[in-house]
Amino acid sequence: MGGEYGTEANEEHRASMHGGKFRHIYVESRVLGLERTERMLARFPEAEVIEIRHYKDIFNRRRQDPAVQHKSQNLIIAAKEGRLVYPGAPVCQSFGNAHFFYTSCVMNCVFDCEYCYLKGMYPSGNLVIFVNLEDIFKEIRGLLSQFPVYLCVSYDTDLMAVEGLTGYVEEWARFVRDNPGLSIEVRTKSPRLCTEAIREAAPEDGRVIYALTLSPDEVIHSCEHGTGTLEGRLRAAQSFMDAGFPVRLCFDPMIYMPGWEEVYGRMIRRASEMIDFSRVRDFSVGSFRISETYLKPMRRVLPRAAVVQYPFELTGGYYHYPAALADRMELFMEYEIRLRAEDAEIFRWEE
Amino acid sequence: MIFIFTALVPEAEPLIQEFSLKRTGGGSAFQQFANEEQGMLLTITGTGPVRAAAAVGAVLGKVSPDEVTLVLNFGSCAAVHGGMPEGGETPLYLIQKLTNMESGRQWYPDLLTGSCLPEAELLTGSRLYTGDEMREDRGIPALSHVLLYDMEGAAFFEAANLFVGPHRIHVLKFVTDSGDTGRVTPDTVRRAAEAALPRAAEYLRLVMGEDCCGKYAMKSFTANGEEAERMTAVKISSDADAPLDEDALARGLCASRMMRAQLHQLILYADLAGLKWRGRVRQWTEKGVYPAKDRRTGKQLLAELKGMVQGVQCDDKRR
Repeated sequence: MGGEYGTEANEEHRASMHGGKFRHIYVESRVLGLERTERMLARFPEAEVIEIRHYKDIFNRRRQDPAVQHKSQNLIIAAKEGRLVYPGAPVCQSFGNAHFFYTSCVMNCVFDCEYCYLKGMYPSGNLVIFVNLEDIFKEIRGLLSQFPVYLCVSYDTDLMAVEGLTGYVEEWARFVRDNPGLSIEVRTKSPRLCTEAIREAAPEDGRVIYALTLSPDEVIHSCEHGTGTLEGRLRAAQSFMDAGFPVRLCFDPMIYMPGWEEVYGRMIRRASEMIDFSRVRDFSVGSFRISETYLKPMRRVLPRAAVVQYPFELTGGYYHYPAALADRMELFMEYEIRLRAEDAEIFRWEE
Repeated sequence: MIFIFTALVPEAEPLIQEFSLKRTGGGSAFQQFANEEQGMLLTITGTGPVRAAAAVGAVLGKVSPDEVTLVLNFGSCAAVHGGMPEGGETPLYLIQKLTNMESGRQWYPDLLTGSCLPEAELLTGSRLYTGDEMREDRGIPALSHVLLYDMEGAAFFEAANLFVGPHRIHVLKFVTDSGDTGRVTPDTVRRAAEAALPRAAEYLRLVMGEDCCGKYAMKSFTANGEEAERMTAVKISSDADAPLDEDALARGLCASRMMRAQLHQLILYADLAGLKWRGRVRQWTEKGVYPAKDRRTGKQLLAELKGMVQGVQCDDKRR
């Protein structure tokens, strides 16, 4: 299963999962027999396939424990309904784009980062894949008829991590190519390299942005379970760069730990050894922050995770590190980036 | 604690023997058997969904959800589609989906263990199964491999889910008939339960062994990536017999309620992250400022501790 999700790190975590991922796959009746559904089911011939009426019958059950479920994650295949494209969240970076949106063709993530807001936002740790991409595309075309759109397609998930299962990054790339005015960001922690299929599907004008979240190995090992190592992610970034994609490096979220300067300094030194920073499209820098609404449930499901039990400060509905510390961390990172790329475009999240 | 619910005495008897359960007193409306040492309570609900739900409510309503490790419904059922015993062996099924035939509502246990038990769907009705329950308009769901019928399962699950999550609720069923209920006697049920018991016991061991309450075991991280030392209670020289914990520290700081709340989060994080906060308290003691003489001093010490734990340096200023 490691190859399926392009992960190298956290072998111990993957091995501890009960019997591996997707031993049970729940499929809505209305998507049974569809090509995307069948293609995904074919990847798991040993799975128990259970027919359901609606994905919320599984995803929204009472008193679930997302942390426990994540250790033995199941898959739900469904059709998305209602509003399919949403305005970008204030806590997220818009990179200067006026019309910033996001969409979720996959809910939840195969990775298991302890600080991830999904643990507070979703009642379940199971993965939901929506197969009605065409409905999402239709809604986006409606927006595009009014203004250009900057769309984040890998927010509530990691699309590259499941590309082998879904092929959605390729489909998105093709959709962008066919729709001028649309730019997308594909955010990931996966070490999965750029594929020929993705490269051929994407437009050549840089409207598909590959955004890699970088963390020190100490943070990856401690709390980004199942994700790629720093080196693995950097190799992936290089592969996308070589394929002609604009690459964004995201040092966000930065996680505090005693000795963080040394840790992050080591990380950025390694990153700049493997990646030519002058070729990076832009950088995103931000210390950890999270909506007040999400932190309480996260602390409940992860009572022993230091990263979410940190004594944050609360401002305007968001928990964050003390302002002085957050500034210090972000300015440190900004300085380190500029040391290596004087003219780098760096985006910091501002309230 | 493990809470087991069966509808019938013959279903319960093998469990009672296997786990050395003793009849309890207590005036419950339901027969109950317990083994306190094993942390197990078995309740015989009687037949039908109402009895099942009532029993679950009566039992789980008296305990805190945190006390509940596992809730299990173990019992007999009829085979609707597939599921009949073959070659003399009584199969034991792990139920993956339950349907209340009256309401049409469906329930899904969290199937998180690597169990080798075959899985099945379960329909629950309020009458004995005769085959008429599956009229043409109901039909067999497209993906059903094995479809079973009983009179308690869905009600049991729905009631249990009011108290605990789906990862703690398990339903195991063994087949006794396919609608020819005239041939089902207490003896046949008991024998089928006895035959299914070893696999049920193995399943319980599997579930318990894998810690279905699994929370992340925290590795505190430090700059060199090594797991930080965890300090448990440390004695302070000025109070050699009393270990320092959060309560003691709160008293030593003359903490108000708000200070205590703040202190709780600081100490929780500090312990998880392996920060040596007790060393700081030792320094205060040596300087003679701890225990604090008043709340004002306590607040100052708390602010100092907060800075240390949060990692905010004294010369940090917001630019």
